[in-house]
Amino acid sequence: MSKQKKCFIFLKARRSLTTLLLFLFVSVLHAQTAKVSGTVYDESGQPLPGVSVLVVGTSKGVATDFDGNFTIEVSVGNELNFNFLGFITKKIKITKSTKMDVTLTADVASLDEVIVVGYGIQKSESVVGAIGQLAGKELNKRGTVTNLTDALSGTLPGVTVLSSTGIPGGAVDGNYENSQILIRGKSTWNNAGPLVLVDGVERSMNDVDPNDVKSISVLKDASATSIFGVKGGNGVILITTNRGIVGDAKFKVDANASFKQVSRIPKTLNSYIGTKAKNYAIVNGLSVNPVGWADYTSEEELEYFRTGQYPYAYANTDWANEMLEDFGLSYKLNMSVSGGTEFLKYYGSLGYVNDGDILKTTDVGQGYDPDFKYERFNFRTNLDFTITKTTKLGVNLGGYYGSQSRSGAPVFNFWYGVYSKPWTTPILRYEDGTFGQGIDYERFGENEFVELNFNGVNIDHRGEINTNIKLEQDLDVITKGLKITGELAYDNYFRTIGAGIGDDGTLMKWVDPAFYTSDDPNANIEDYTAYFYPGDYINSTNGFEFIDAPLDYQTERITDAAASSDYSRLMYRISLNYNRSFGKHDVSGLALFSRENVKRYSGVYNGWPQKREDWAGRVTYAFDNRYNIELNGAYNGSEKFGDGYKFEFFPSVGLGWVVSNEKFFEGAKKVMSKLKLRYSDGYVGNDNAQNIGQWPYFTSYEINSNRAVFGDGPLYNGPEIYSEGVIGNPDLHWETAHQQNFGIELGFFDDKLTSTLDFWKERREDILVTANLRNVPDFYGAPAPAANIGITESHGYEFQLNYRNNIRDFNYWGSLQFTLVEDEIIQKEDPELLPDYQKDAGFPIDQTRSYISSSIIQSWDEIYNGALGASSVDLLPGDYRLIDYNADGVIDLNDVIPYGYPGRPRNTYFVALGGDYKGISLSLNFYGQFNVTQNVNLGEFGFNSPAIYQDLLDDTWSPEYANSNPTFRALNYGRGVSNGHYYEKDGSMFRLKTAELAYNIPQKAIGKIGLTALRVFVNGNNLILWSDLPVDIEGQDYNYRNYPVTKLFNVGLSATF
Amino acid sequence: MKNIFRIFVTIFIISITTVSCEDYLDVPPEADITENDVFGSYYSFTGFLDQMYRYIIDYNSAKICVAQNFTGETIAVQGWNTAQAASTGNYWNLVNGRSNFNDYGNGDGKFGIWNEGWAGIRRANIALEKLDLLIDATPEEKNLIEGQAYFFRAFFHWEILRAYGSIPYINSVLAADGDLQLPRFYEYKGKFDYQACTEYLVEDLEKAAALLPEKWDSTDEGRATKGAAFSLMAKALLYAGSPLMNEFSRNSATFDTGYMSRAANAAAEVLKLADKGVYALVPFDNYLDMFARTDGLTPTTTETIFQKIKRDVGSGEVNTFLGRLYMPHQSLFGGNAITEAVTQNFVDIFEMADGTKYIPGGPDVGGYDFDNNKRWNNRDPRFRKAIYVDRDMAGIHPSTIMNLYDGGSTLNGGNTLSPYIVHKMWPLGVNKKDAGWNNFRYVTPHLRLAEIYLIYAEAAYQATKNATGTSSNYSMTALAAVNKVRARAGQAQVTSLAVYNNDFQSLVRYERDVELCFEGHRWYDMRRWKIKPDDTLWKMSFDKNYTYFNREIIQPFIFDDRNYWMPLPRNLTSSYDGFPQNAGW
Repeated sequence: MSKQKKCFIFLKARRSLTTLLLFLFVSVLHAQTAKVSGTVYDESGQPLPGVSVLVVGTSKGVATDFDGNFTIEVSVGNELNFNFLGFITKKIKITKSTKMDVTLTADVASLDEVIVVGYGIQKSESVVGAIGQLAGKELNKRGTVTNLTDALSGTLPGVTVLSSTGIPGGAVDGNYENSQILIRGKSTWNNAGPLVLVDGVERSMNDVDPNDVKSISVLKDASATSIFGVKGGNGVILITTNRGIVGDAKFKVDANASFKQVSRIPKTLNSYIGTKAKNYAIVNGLSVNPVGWADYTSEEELEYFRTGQYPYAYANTDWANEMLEDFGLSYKLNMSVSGGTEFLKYYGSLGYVNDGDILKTTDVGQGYDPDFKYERFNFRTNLDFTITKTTKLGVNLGGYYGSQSRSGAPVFNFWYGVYSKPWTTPILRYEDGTFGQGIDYERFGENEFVELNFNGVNIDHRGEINTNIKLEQDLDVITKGLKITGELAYDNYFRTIGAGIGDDGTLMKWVDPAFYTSDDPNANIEDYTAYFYPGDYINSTNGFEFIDAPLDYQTERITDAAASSDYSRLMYRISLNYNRSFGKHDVSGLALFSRENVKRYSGVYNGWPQKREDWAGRVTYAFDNRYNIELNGAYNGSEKFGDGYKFEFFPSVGLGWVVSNEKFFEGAKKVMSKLKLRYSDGYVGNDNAQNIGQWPYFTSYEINSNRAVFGDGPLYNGPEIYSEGVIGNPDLHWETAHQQNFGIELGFFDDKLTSTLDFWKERREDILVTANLRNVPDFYGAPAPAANIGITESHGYEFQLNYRNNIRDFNYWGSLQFTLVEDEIIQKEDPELLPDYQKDAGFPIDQTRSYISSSIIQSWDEIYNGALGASSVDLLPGDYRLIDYNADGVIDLNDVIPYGYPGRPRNTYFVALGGDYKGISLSLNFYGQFNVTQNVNLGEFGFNSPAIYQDLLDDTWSPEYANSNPTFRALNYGRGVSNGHYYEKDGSMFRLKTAELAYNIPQKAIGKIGLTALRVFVNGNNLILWSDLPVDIEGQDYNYRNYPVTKLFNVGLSATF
Repeated sequence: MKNIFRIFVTIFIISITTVSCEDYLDVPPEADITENDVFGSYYSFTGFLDQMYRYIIDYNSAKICVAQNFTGETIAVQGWNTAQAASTGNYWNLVNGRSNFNDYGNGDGKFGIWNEGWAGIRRANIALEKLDLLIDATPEEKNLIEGQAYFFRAFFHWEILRAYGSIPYINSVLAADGDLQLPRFYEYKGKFDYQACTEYLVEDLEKAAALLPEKWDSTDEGRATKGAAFSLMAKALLYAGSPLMNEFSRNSATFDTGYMSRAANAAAEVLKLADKGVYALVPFDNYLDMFARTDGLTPTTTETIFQKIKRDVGSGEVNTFLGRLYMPHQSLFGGNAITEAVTQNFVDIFEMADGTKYIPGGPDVGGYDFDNNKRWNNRDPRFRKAIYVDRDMAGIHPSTIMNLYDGGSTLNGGNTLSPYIVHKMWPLGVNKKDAGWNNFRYVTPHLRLAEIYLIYAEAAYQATKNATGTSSNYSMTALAAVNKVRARAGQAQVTSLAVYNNDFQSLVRYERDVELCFEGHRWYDMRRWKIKPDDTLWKMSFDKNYTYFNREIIQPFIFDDRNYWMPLPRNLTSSYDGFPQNAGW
């Protein structure tokens, strides 16, 4: 811009200012008041109480009363501002005293209009990237689901949540799995999780209260994410919390109560059928495993199992039933207040959630209840001060304090009770109410119920305080539309070990004999009317085999393990924003500088702050609402790389053309109301990899307090141990992703029918490969230095179709979303001599691989004649014939080949249906996935799975049962038998993810009790599951010690007053 | 207004540029531990070296449920138990699953013989290359560092070599971007492959023996010594000249007399040290102190030459290691269901106390199985030191009696596959009843004097093919060396080889089986002799009142030709042509 022109703008600005001042002066001189009264209605003619009516430019205002009436005095010439949450704000200029009716229009699409993008917001029309957005209130349909990651499952195209656990409060100690979120699948074998920003700062989203969430924006392509540069490679999730708007204080109370149940776990067989199947397996394998005979159950005993005649000797215990409650309970309560004046807008909320247990944890005399539960308190205050006309100050303070309790039992000790315990084992409980310890020599003879309940309580406390302060200064004085913003965030996460209870778990009678009954061989079964007390017990003085140690009431404390997850984050950022329209030209610009400093106390980082520095910028230009162009760029610095590689520039360009705004399109607009094309192309990066360390470009030495010990006894310690640290690679640099996205947005019939279609592809190069993923010969003797080796390509599409219409008061809508994600490893450091089908290159990331069974061997003839490979030694009819893939006559590791798909779905789809009629609304959300292979290894009569499952029996081959279409080999007892690919299952599923029926109680009915709105609802999560899998897992493998996934029924209300 | 803006922008730019970006992201100087910090002084250099001692694998306690009994001497029910996994002949289960060879479990030795070995070799090479940086040390101290580094470079090569066969001898710090396609098979000093590798390690051990002291100060006791270097040298030479290794090194499957005489000479150097009083066979009453103690002291005796010095003490050793390996019955003893029990096959090996063979079977075949005075009594005294039998007391409390009869509680309901429990590492009183485990420690010696006598005996015999042969530098005969070991145990002296079919080598084999049982030797020994284990594992079945004694099959035992060597990691053998897999894998 030439100097002259610049001056002109300033002159013009100055002139406007003078005019304005003059005008104000005149106004004051000639101030005339007018009395305005009237009623505010909504579109259906219902009066709206609680609407804020403000005189623009002053702090003077009133609210409409219960009948929607208001009266206010106002200076002639001033404007009145009518503001009500969920409605479009209306301004009316007052010229005289009058009585007026005001109708406010519901702001149905308020969220769609504005899209949250990286470091800003944009009108949806001018967005050129692939961005999905979800209104926070949708999350509330999930009832008491506490974890925001889980709550996002099945909501947005391109977003996949992999989940197999329902543990209240999530996994903290590595014994349980956490849900994972992926945006557009995986393009790297490193951490593929997206960057999550809560109010503009990198934060964990799991413990954010869904009630506080205004919107969730998912940035999927480079034009949207390249402003985050190095961190944007795996997509970005932006979470924006609620803020106040000008108006009277509005209190809102949300209350929910949920019942939850196990969604689906494998079904074990009862004693009779299970034992019969075991007998069959023993007989079948006798020629190979003769000692199995010792475990054969006689026909007479089988009969006892069947009739249940002698329950003490021949038990029939439905263990899953004994271990699980019929339902668990969860509660959630949230209160918020929001409102504001021109000077201060505020939003404040307090939340409490108590996520309960479905395991049968109870105090049966041990003196405590080892519930699995998670309690969390959330709080948030978001304040916006308008300090001067040009200066704004935003202060956010948010956080939570969570307390997770778990049974102190090691996970190995009781999950078998839920998943795989044979029914033949009793829960040993004596008449006096005390429990017996199981037969210890049988791993599954442990009394799981006792293990669960008598091992104390572990408690974990965790909490986080997030602080943001944001100062915004309009620089209109310099040039109109310019703003400078300074922002500082300081977060603190802490974890402590709570006041749990230690219990050595031995308040049990000890049972010695081989069975729970008697070691007297002459005893008659008829005599057993109770569980047998062993001799030791009868003779012992205290009635117990062991003296029960007193409970160890622990105090809250910080352990190394707890402290290792603590962190504090300091982020500061300064940015310049420019936003202005010149006639048909809309121009905006952003320049930003930020630094981050994260302190962790875990081993890898040794307390040295992790640092990052980002420079980012964006320029957008739009012409006549038709053409959009957007340039984004980030210049990021990472401490992970050495000189010459520390900084990298990640640019992107996005183009948009709103065809429907063209003149030539006018004719078509009646049918096709919207047509927009957009394309983006750009680069993003990643500097993170598994165990990459803090400075992987640099070789250092480490010091370790574990010393070697010499001399006699543990008293003398040698010097502290020095070790070669991570071996550095000075040439290490960024992993870069080249992403392209082409999108079409369509609207028909006045946007009643809309559709969005995005095609995308990505090529990721220089993928960071660390230590154990490198293929350097073992005799190198150390974890190999990290290197940039590897290329992947992925591509896919997202398709959305929405329809919304009404028949008078009946509004209805439907939505269909369909996504595909495919990826392929192009290059990886595979061992060269491996056969191609065993290399990772050429296959998707995490491709499932397995031995393949071609069929089931039907007869001995086949074993003697056929070339069954070296594994034929112990083969029997009924076993799998494995495919000798490389035809070398031997079944060995070379015959493990790619099978099916990876464990995360290639295709997902959602169907949403809903409608409302006069305050009653119903919505149903379905979610499905296919082209996914999940490992569900149940096993039978084995060490980790001693039971036998209905699902297996249904599929089992046997000459006698003459199963019409057996897919599972003959049952096996104590032989090493291949399962082929049987346990690699088709993980396709379809589920009713959420459903909600709600009723907005009419104003008339609730006005008397001072409410402005009352909504009651029932909803549910994970309600119905259609899947061939015996267990409810989404994109993760079956694990017999996971807390089962739950389904949830919820009732709740939401009141505003 | 313009000025304000200018001032603002200027401040903005200055504030950003003065804090240079590179500085902000650089490694803080205080976080950088330099080479001089590590290698500058004797004390800190020792700290670098000491990790080697932690890399050593203790064969019976490196990992949960893991031992080294791969020749059918013990067996347990679970497929992932190392004895059971070995019994199927599929060593992939050992190298990829739970075993001393794999990266599995936690704590010291977690990474297994293969990985810890290569890490140890790298560390030894770094130490040798950085020796020049050692300024703050006396020449003697420098020798100690150098000696230990040579010792460990040889030790870790040896641990891998004897299980996997020929490997490259790594004697420099490798660079990740250098040529890493080192050949498995090569020539050195006129020897090939396994023997070539042995020549390298013997060279290192010679240097170590010259640099290391005979004894360390009491605070450093347990570090590598001259005796340890000679012992290892003797053992490495003995192996290199044994039939399997000799054949692998492009010769025949026979003993190589050259290696045998060198082995005998090296062993003799250790025996000379014993004669000087550095080592002595421990009296039989204190025999088990070599393996376990309940007084909190390191299980180390005058006989110990080299072993891992473990810090671990107390009930954790039972709960995590010994209990999950050799001890039965959780609520009584603190063990669990995976008891690795001793097979009848192995029990039969133990001689009678008079030096005659045990005769298996019932009275109908003249066997001793029903004879209460012969079956478990009046056997080689080492039998009952190593193994608990029925009615033995594992503690003081009356209920610590071993109920090993059919259906007896100690059999864990049939999950303990054989009625013999390993006693060698499980001292009296270490159980829940007596709770004698507060100061419990246990360890498995890598090298001890008794074995050196047996190495001497075997090598001297094979070098001279004469039971009265000696080495060139020592006067003890092969037979006298064996008898020295037997005498300590109180077992009858061997005066005639008739019992051993006049084959001195069978006597050596008997002695090694019995004297060194459960210490991780037998699998290596049988392989190097190219002797396959029994193809069926047996147990004894009997009732509480001893009215019957039946021998019953536990399971078959598979040992094919491929079982003479461990399979090498597939990633390595499929990376380049110069590193082929062992035959059969």
